[in-house]
Amino acid sequence: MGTQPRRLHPVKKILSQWKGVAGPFLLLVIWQLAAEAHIAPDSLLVPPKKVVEAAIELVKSHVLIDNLLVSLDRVAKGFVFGSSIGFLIGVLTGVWKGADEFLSPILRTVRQVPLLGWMPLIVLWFGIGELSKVVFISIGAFFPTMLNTYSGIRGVSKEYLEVGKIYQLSKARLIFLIIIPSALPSIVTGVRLSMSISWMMVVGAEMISANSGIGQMMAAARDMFRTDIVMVGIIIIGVVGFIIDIVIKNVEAGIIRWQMTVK
Amino acid sequence: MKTLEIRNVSKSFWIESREVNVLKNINLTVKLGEFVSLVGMSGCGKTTLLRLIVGLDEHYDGDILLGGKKIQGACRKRGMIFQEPRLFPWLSVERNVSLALSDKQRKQANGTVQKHLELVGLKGFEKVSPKQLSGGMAQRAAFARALVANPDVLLLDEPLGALDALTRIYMQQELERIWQEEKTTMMMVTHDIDEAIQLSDRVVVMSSRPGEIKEIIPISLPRPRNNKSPDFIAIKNQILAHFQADSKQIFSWEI
Repeated sequence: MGTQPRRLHPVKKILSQWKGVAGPFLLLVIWQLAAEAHIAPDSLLVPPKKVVEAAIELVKSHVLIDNLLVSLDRVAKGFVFGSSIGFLIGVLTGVWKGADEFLSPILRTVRQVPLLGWMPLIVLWFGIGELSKVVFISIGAFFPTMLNTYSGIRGVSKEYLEVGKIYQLSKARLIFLIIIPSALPSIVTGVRLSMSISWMMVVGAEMISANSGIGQMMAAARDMFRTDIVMVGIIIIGVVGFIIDIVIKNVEAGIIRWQMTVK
Repeated sequence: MKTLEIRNVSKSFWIESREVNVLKNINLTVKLGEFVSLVGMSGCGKTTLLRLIVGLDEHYDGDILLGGKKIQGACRKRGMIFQEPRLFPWLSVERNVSLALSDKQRKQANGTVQKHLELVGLKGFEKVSPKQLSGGMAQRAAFARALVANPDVLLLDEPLGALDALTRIYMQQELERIWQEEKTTMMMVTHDIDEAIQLSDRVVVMSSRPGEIKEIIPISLPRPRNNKSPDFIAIKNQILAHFQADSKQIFSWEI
């Protein structure tokens, strides 16, 4: 017996669904008005119409999609690599006190280095090719997953661990049947943070040195004074990041539902 | 014969650099298949005693022997049930129960899990998530998990304490039936004196700080017991008398 959901007036219902779209639309109107008022030269404050035209041009010539795919490929590689290692180190330090004492001081120190601070060393070690970008993204993806896995495991309730002790579970069964499922919500939060950092890192890496990718497309457009293409890049980065976050949030909700139901 | 012997067991904790004597010179022998209850004020060390026997707490003075051998750490031969069921919500009822079996037992155990779920009246709930069970049913699943590995002794720490009054009365009868069918030695901590008299062969009355045994009362009333019978009430008064004397002491000590 559930309570009946509150019924909204049809007009109100439509309005409430479109609220999220109203903000961007208003922004677009202001932008258009500002451009028409010529408060800045057109080359700096490009009117929305020109940005749309640039976007259409980029789509038609496959430049946009090609660069986007290259960037997404780098993100995927760096994210998978970085967060997997992060997960493993998180489990290792979370479960095994010796590893925690040995590794945690090093990791806590290394984490203080700003992510961009790694760039010179990465370029020296791995050059400016694909590998260096994947490594750069991996470092960004590593920490959130590692830290959240560690704290999730440390937060497993004492009551659960006592049950494991009473029934003499082997270390492996304890880790896979009790500790990891119990820490899962925290782990998934870490993975989500890793993903969104990965997406930010790829754009940064490509702006510094690359011959393809969304970041490189924007850097090249800047050199040619194509503000319209830069604007297209910014919008695409925002939109793609938003979509990735929605997808991961849904996966997260699914996993947490699973944690609470039967396996 | 797997007798549980508690010999001269004392235990103290250090709380803010002050030594608190939780258990003092506990001597108790629980015979095979016997049902013993521990009653006493909160903080009299009843739970600590159970945790020592099951192996969750260590470092105590004296000896705890099971079948003549000193206990060491936790062991499947000693099971425990807590006030809360402590089931894992991401495992089905069946998998929660089979968790208690060793790898070897799991391979050989054809139908043991099934048999124990039937024993506690949860047949047909094998694949259900613990989240979907009521408090009483979840505690039944915990009983199945605690009994599936055939422990020599089962320790119960206020096992029915979190249940509502009606479910509790029903579960007392169920616990008595399970004990009679399984013939497992049971040692239960409870705050409910009626419950203790209803189920036990002997009731151990404990005092607080330090936790000492004040009296061990054998109960030979025929089962199932009637809590309205004069004999029942006489035993109840005998137990209650300890606490009326004790409570005054506690108050004066605390002030």
